[in-house]
Amino acid sequence: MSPWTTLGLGFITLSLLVVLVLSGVLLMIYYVPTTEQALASTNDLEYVVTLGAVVRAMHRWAGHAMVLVVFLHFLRVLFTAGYSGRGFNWIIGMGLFLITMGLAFTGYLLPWDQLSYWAVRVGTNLFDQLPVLGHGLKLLVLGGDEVGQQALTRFYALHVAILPLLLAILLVLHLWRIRRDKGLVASQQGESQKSDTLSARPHLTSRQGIIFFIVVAVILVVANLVPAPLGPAANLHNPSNPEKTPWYFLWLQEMVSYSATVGGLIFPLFLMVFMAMVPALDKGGSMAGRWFGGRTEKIIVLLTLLAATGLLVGIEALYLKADIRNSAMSFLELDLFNPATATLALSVLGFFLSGIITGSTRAAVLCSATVLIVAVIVFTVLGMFRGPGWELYWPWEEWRLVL
Amino acid sequence: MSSNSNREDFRNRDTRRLKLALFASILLLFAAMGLTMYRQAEPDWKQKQEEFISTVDPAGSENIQILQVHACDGNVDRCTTCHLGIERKDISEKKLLNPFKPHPGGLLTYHPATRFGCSSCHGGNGRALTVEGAHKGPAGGKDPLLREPHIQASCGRCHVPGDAPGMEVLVKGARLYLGLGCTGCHPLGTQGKGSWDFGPDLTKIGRKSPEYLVTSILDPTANFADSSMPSFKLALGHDRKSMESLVVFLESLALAEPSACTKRTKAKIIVDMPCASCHAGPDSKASGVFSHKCPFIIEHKHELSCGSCHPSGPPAPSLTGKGRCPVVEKRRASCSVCH
Repeated sequence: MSPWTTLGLGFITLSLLVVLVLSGVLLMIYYVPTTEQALASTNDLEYVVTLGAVVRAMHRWAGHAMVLVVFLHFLRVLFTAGYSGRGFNWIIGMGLFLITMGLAFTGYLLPWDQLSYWAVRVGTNLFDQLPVLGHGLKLLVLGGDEVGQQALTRFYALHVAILPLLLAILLVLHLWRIRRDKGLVASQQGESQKSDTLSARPHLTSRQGIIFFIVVAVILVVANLVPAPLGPAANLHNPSNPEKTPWYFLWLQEMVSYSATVGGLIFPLFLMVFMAMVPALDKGGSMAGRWFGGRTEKIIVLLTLLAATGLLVGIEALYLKADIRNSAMSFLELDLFNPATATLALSVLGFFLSGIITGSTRAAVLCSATVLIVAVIVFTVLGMFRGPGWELYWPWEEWRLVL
Repeated sequence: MSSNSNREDFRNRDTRRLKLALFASILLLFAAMGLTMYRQAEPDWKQKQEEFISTVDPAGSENIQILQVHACDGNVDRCTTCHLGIERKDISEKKLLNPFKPHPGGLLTYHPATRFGCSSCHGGNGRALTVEGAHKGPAGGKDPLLREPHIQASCGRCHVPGDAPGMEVLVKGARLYLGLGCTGCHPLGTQGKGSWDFGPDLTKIGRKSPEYLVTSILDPTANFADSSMPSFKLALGHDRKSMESLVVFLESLALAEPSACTKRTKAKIIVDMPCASCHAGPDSKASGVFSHKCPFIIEHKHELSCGSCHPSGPPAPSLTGKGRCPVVEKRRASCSVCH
């Protein structure tokens, strides 16, 4: 099977996980999870403990990298139809994705500096926007209404015990299912014939070794050159600018800034349910293991990519120009007219349109998924340009301070 | 047959290539580890200490090591790891450059660095061992407390403005705060700290950057669109020195009082032992002739009569210096402007 099919993303994730576990355990030796001592102990790690700064930076960058690589791995499996016939493992993979984001988010709070405190406070305030369940969920995670000692204790427990345990269980299942399913989904044409297989040792294990060593080396070099950020002490009364979540939640924050119900509840719910149902919706199993399936699917994905990017950027521009967040629209109108609702409509429309035109369920699924993924990326990028007051700023523009 | 030998060929070639690549990747990892060890072995502070020993103090017996102080306000300061000459009066005649300069003035006689540390007055991050990390303030960039006159804001952590020499800018700022009527909307509590009234609590913004504070005073809506605060451009716009002193006073409001550094907290001096602080006699008992020690009252003596603060005649001081003086209790809103 060609390395260009999998890109080794699954194994890179696994390598990053090994780096994260080892560096994380080392950090645990010095880190103290109390509001008084968290930043002090992180400072000690950064400046006094032998190799502490490097280990901390490795943990930080490997964590960010893992979120990114898991996302890419998810895209790979989606667009090569690696899920076909493996609905169970696909769901496990989604669970692993969510746990990865949970680990990244809980780890963000632990240094207890200005940046981490406010990012988490803004992130958990997103919960409050959710109807019905939101506030209860926030209370469960924070152990109160404010981000304080209770929240730090809970985030620490989640970060070092609960989520890693869940991750380990799901990861074992994930890998076990791959083995049960006789390896990765391979293209039907030629490659999967028995005579054409190679023994795992050394042809697979050596490749894995190479990937692992390169991943560790790259993380180590990056950790040496770019220290992990560590700001001043968390000032509970003094929000730093901007009030932003970590980058992997910016798309949510961007959508919630328009409509909490659609952006914070309906869109994520739709995204998860739709992605979970992908193996069931896609009935064209013959093209598995190839990027974008057959010719029809390739054309559909390419068209959707162009159309969705154009349309979504256009819609965003339109809404920004109309400045609907500050207009006199009611909440109901805002729920109807906002980028998240437009994305959902576009996604459903694309599903039926491409399904009817091509007659291929794979094309319909990929079209719909592409719209959603493009939206997430567009919203994330847009969120990066947001400044104080959630106004758009160019990177070279200075942020206007707001009390 | 030929396809079989082709496969055999491919296997052998692949195995050879993999061995090479594996070897290269391990080499890469070793190189990365080497880089790490190299950077770990020679941190900036070690180079500074070597420089100090070789140029300033070749006869000394210093070891290369991290020096740290557990300061009375709970901070851990490692500043003296690089600022090695700070308490070395014996080498003060030499022209030393930073970071080896001795501390100017006699301040360290009353505030020995071994007890008070450095960051309790100078701010920054005392735990850090890099130039940038150690000097960074809460608003990003270099901590303003590190330079004159902002450093005087730190005096206000333990001292009532004016109760010791060397904080003239802070005293000037405190008087401006009173004179411009800031207390009308931003009153100060018993510890000389603020509380929310008509305007927001100023203890929470004092550690924004000085530029931010200046902007807020001259053009309140620039940072806070809904502000109804008047602009102080006329009073302060062209008086840079006064502006600066007011900023220093605002900065002092945001600094916490370190209870373990002083024997008597400011609140205790002002409220709990008010009689003794003005009428101090033997054993801290109130006695002697009435005289105000407050610089503001002395300065405005000609405008004030006893009746302007004590409408029902001069009070009888309570018998001991302990307990709360009823007059001070009542009038402390105006006292606490400075205190």
